[in-house]
Amino acid sequence: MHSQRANHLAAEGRRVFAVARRYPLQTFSGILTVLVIFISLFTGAQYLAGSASVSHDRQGSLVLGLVLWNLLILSLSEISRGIQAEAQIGTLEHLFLASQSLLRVMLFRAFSSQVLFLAMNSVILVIVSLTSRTTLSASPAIMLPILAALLATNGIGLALGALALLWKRIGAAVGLVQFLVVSLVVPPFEQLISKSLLPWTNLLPLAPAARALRSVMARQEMLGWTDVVTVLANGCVYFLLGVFVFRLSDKLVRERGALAGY
Amino acid sequence: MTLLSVRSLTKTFRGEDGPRAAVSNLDFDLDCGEILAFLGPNGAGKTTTIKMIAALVKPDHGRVLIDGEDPQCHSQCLSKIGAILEGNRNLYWRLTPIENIEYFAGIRGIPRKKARSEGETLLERFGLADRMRSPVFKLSRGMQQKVAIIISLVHRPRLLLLDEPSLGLDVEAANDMNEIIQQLAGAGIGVLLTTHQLALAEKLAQNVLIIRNGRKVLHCPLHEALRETNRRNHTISLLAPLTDVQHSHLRILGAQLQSSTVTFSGDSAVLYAVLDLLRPLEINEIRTSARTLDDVFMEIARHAQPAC
Repeated sequence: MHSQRANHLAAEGRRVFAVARRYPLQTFSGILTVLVIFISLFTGAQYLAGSASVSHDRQGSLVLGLVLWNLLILSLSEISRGIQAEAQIGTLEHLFLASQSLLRVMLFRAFSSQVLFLAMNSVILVIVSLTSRTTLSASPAIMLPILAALLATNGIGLALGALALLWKRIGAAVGLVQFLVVSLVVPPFEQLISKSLLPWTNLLPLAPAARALRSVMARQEMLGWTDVVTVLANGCVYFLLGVFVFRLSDKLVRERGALAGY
Repeated sequence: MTLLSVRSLTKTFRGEDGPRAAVSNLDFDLDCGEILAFLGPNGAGKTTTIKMIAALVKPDHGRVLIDGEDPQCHSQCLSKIGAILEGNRNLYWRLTPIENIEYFAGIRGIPRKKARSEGETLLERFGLADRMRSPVFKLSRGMQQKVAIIISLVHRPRLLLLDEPSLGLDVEAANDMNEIIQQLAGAGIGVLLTTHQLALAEKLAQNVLIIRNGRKVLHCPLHEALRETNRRNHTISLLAPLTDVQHSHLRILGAQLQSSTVTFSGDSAVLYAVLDLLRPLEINEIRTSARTLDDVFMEIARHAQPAC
């Protein structure tokens, strides 16, 4: 059973990379577009600050927030976008029939895509850091908040995928959620709101992971055990919620006979 | 040996116009190596039935057993199914045939090496070896359909669900497809074939199942459906127009009338009865032909008594 799943994961990886390799212009134009937007935003922020000096950690927070946001919106829409595309070309039912679990296909596919996104965003992060002269700390401790953020993102992505399974065309809703994610990831809540309100932000998806990432990379702080547990718990809860909603939608859609169609 | 057993299968969809019974109490079996032509007019419930067999739609009642296992409860038995559900759209157009084969085999848990070797053998057998590295969108429709068939075969299924496999194919590609289906059945694979091309069904199938409004109206060996040797199709061409009285009497016998042509189906007694009615009109020609699956299907479509 494990080897079958490994073969499945490998097949998803090969498919994602085969398309990226076959259409390099599409891959590189994606990176270039994001770079142009980030550099414009960053230059705009510096212009607004005028002669006032921007502190190193604020600059780092902005760079990190933007790159993390890009990684997350790509990951967030991957499952629902995939389901819409599969429904359109007519492969959705075959995926279910072949894999016996649409959830597994979507998760393995999301994982493969995210490895590619992570590589693309690492390139973006390096270029944005160099052009903005921002120094970021890259300790192994960053992996935990990134993992937690991706877990929560995949949870939300699965919930959006569940909507896509039921209604197929949900592009507008995905767009809205992507911009809601900005408000959870980019603003440094720890500097903007009072300490008494800060624990409540732990209930929001992605917010604890984004805060932890800023602490580690922009302020070179160590994460305490409370932070680690909070960040992981937040990621896991939102991921499991997404799995639950997706399974429910899968069941509903097969009862309604609406897996195919667009 | 029974490969597929369908019992009391029922599905009702709830739409804006209220509940609509797509499939009602459907029962049938399919044996290994059998080709069963599964026919019916548009909206009869064929695709819903196929999707319930493949666990893509959950039945309200009844059950499907594949080799004794219910695919709704034991998803592993889906590995015994290969399917073409919607023609060549079952492929990723930006991938090559061999990449598509490896991908769909991979998500079934088949190792890449085995999928590649099996895929190459099938591509060779289907005459596509030289196109295995061309992106699918560059292949002709017939080639794409063959690749879709290969994908449904690469895991060696025991049951093949084919929903309009020849749709949109040219004559040569359709002939190739028919040959492939016959070869697969010869190798012991059970084939449930849905098509509106009744001549194709007549050529390939041993048994025929016709449904209408989700209900079974005919299920028997093909030769039995066509067996009524006394009953033939007759077309009488006349040199003078029919009178009103003749018109009304001929309609009672179920004949279809044009200005100077009378078409009907029946045995010799019916033929003589019609000839008596036509007296004294001069007859130009009488043509008689054997029944085809088209005739059986049309009788059912016109609410006539099924053949068996």
